[in-house]
Amino acid sequence: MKVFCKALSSILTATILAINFVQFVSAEEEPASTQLLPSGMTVSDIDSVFQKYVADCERTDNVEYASAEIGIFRGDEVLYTGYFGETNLKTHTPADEESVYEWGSISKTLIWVSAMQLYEKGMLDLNRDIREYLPDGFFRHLSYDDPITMLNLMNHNAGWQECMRPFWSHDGDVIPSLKDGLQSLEPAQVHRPGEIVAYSNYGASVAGYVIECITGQDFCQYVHEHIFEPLGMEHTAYAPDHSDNEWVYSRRRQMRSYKMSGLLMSYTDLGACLYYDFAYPAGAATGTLDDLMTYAQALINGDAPLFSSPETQKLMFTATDFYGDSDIPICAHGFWPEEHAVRVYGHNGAMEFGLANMIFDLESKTGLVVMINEPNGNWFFNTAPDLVFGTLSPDKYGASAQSAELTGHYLNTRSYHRGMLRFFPYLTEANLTNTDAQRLSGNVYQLTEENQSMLIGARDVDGIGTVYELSSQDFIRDNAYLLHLALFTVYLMLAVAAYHFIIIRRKMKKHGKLTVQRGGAAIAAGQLAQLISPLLALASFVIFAYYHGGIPVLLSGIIGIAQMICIAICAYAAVRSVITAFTVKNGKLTRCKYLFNTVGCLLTCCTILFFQMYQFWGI
Amino acid sequence: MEKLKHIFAIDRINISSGKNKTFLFIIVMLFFLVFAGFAYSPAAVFIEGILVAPMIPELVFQNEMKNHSEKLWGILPVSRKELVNARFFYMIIAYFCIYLVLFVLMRISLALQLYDRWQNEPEIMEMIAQRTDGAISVKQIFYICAITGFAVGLTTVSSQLRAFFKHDKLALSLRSDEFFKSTKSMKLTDKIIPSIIVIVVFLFMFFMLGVIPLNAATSIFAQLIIQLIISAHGIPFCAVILTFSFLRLWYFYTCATLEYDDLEL
Repeated sequence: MKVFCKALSSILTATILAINFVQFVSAEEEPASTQLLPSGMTVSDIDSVFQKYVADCERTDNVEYASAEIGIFRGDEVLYTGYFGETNLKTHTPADEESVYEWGSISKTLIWVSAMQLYEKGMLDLNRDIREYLPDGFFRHLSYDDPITMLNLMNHNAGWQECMRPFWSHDGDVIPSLKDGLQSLEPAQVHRPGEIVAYSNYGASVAGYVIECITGQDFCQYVHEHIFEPLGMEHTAYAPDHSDNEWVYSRRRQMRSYKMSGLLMSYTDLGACLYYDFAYPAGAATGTLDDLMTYAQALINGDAPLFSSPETQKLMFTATDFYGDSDIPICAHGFWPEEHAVRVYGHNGAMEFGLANMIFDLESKTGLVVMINEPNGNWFFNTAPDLVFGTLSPDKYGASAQSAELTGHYLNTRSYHRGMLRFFPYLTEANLTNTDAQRLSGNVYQLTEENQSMLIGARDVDGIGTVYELSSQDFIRDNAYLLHLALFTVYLMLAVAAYHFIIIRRKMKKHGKLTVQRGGAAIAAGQLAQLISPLLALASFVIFAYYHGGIPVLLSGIIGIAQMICIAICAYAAVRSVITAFTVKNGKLTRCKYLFNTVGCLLTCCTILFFQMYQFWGI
Repeated sequence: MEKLKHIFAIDRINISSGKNKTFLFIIVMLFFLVFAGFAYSPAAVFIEGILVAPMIPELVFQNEMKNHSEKLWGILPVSRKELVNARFFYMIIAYFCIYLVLFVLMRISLALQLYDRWQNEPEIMEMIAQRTDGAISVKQIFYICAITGFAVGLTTVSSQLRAFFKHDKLALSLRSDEFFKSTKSMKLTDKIIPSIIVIVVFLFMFFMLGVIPLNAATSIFAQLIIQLIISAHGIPFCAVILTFSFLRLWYFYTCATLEYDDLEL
């Protein structure tokens, strides 16, 4: 009996232990597909959504994407990889593990990680003037003596406007060194450092050059040695022509980019879309989905494989700028926090070739990377972040029911505020109405539209006024926006009027009906200048777009000098018209004609001067 | 003013005499546009400037030729300039009235949105609004289309008036089978400009629809126009295009006055 009881209890104990062991093992091996993501969906839910979209597109024979690659991970574990579409619609090459995409501005995180590595080693002081690291006289267009620190570069508030010189070249044989490239691109510094945030590719690339100066090593080589190689990222290139990785070089030239255009949404083949970046640290990294995911996983790895100490990695994700006077971060050492159901950190990238996104939740260690070959985006790129991380609920920060006064016209700081393209921001203003925003605590607002929200910070800056902060750029309120736009509109209308006055005068002369008047030549010259000046402004716009966001020095010089000549002619014509109107005996109609010409010439002069259309230097 | 009324009265008699295919054509086109505006898109108001506007001067000049009443002006105490003034004046007024009626009807169509009830695809203005990511609303697009259509039509009416005053046989040739033979005598510039206007409008439509892909150069112009349209609810764009059309009217009026004066009838 005793033996029987002992045997029975042993068997029972063993059974219980075995059951617990099986449950324990099963719990550790929970399938990736059933793991819950911050949005509340599981990976298999998300995959179903993707597959349904693909099936719907195929069923309706209406494919609205070229290709997309998506990776979802948690910690070291890859939960999901998805390859959709074709990288070459003509040869029907499917997207796969060997497809390479451009990181775009995600490349900037390589600069910030490198900077933190040097900071950790005591080689870089984030609060020190970067001019102390750079060669003497490196900057030639600075407007302020205030120090520009690495933190200013990370926060994109060093004060530079957008570059007006061509940023890219089609010719891979003409890529200058990073130093020469940056010196040719240097834009005007239009704000005091630390005052205004304006996303700056130039500023980020300067940070890369600072690292180059400190280490004495080519920046691309530094990144390979200290980031790519330690992580085993063998399929990523960083040089502007991809020459630092043969495999990527070859694969990249097989990729095609596509763009949906027109109301009928048909695809245009943009070709390989190879552009060679003069300031490559800001956006030249190119590689596979796996490599980008490896990099992202390293950034959230508690062991911080890219740093000597995990504390440095933690410091990297602490906020360096906030919304308004709140504690909600807007920037963390170059990484941009995004508010979804959870707060995520990361960066996205946009190039002529395509888009990429890398974001992760530091709490749950969940991350997402997306890469596509369409510069205008597609469904996968737009929906994946919300599917994984959810959306910012209107209640997350306790938005009050009280609507906030955000009326007015706002100019984007990431634009041209000095020089001949100064009229650009006036054509792209943001117009807010007070029914759009709700006030949170402090100077933070929340804009909600169709259950999706975004945050806006606000602050007052001396000499500038109210500034609204969005992620990566500020918007400055322009109380006289309509007046400025009206000035530009009248400038265009005067050109139309001048053209017609010229052709009417020609017609009348041809039929012998034109009477010779004193000052007629001055009037004619003034009208010609009123016509030519807007054509020059249009030419600057066309040249700017043709060179993919920049005007070469020679062409800008020609346009600038021509605009100066127009000012001189208009000023002379205005004075001459006034003198003739009041000194010579004229009928009322004739006098009105002279005065109209005077007003037209003066308005044209004012427009050219206000919008600095003559300025081709120091920009 | 009295002379203007008399000239208008004579032209009215000409129009209402006998069969008038052009008048019938205008009525049919207007009905078609109204139907299209309710069934497909209120943006049909834009097309009025191309389809109906050129018919208005033709209506008067063709019937004048048909009834041989152009010889009347040789004996009536009306100068050529007064004739030009009168016809420009009342035809522009007529065009404006027709356009106003069409605009009101299309505005009603926009409010009722009957086209949404049976179409599977979004209406064209909704597609444009989507493509601009909501930077400009459907209503704003409608007003911009309406103003642009008015401007195009005004230019077309004034251009046609000038052409008829310049070429005394033009109205006759348009009725007859000798149209192409007659137009050979027209100057190249007189043929090109109206053709260019029509081609540009259709090209713009094809670009917007993506039937013709935009290359880098042409997309730049489209981008500039779109920027002007988007800024300040499209007011700068509308101001510029209306200025252009009114100045074109003035130019064509001046040309008509000078050329008709010199014309040997």
